[in-house]
Amino acid sequence: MRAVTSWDVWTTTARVVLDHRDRRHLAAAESCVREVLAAVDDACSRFRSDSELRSRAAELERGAVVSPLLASLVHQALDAAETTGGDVDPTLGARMVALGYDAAFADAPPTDTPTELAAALDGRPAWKRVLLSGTFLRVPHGVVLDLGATAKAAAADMAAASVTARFGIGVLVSLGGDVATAGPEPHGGWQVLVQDLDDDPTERVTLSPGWSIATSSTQKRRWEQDGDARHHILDPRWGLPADPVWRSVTVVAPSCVLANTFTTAAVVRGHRAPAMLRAHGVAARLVGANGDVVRLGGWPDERLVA
Amino acid sequence: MDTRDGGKRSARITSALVGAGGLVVALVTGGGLWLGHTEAATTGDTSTSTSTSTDTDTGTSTDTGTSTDTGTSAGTGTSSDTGVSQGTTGGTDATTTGS
Repeated sequence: MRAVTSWDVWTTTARVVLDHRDRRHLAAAESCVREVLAAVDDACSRFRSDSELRSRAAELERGAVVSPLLASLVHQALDAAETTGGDVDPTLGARMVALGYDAAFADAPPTDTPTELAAALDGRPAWKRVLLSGTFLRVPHGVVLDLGATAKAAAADMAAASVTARFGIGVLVSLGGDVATAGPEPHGGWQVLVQDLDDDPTERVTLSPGWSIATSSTQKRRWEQDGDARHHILDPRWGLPADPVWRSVTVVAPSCVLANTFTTAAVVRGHRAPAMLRAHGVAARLVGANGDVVRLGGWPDERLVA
Repeated sequence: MDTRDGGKRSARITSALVGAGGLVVALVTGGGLWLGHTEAATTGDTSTSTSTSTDTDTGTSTDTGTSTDTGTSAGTGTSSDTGVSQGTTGGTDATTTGS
């Protein structure tokens, strides 16, 4: 038995789950999670002109002290870039806009020419030129930070930790594909269904308490631009959507940010993803373009149980 | 291996460290993470985050891995090292999809 509440946020669904024995805390836990999500949105939303990241963009070119929360989110984004050798790049914001990925997908403008694109991507990777020291942040001219790849996962981590810290209970916080848990294990363990689209193969897993799970997909958040199909995970090498070698990638890790970092990097790396995931020793499930499922790093295989 | 004890211990430690309120802690969570951070460099040993402590206690410890104690995954490939084991029939707490 569980106590559950959910609501729409960030074009996805937020879901807070408690063990039935902790149901009296459900309303307060929802309020706690909402506060965290609102704070993250205020700090780094790319779609809101009044977010700290956007409203202070000009100031950040010279460098400025930012809020601890924004500094933390930028740090985690840069850490993801470092961990993946730049595959998860938080400085592709301008490219995302140029490719037509914004609050609305329709009427996307034409993309840059290859020459313009090559010039824009020339030199040291932009994420290595972002300076973060303590809470002092400097973002080079022309660089647009897009923390979307990590900020949602970070919000799930912080929200779950916040509920456990405040009430001393176990909790699962789900923000779309990003699922974080904290605190004691509920009766029966956290049961998570792994499925991307309705027709995709499904699996049910038990997530150990304190662990997180995330999925990245090349089938979601798609749009068309000049007749070309686009999705929202860009290959930093070209500034274009990564080849859809995988329909989806799911990873379990000690934090949702880490899980999301690996799923995003796996999509970018395509055929090289299994080797990368094995090297990091994480449990992963990859669904290929043809629907075949690859399980790595101790991901349970239900076929072995039958 | 008692998963509940492990979890409660973690919660108590976390609660004791926090005190001032969960949200404030959450917002400060990353605070310790970037101290000493330099240009595009990251360090994992500078963390003072209470939330990080929670993750460590419940995420990497063998004590907190799903086990036969919970009766949810006995003999089905349980791995406390990887944080995931075979699911059980019944309700679903969450669905992870691409987003």
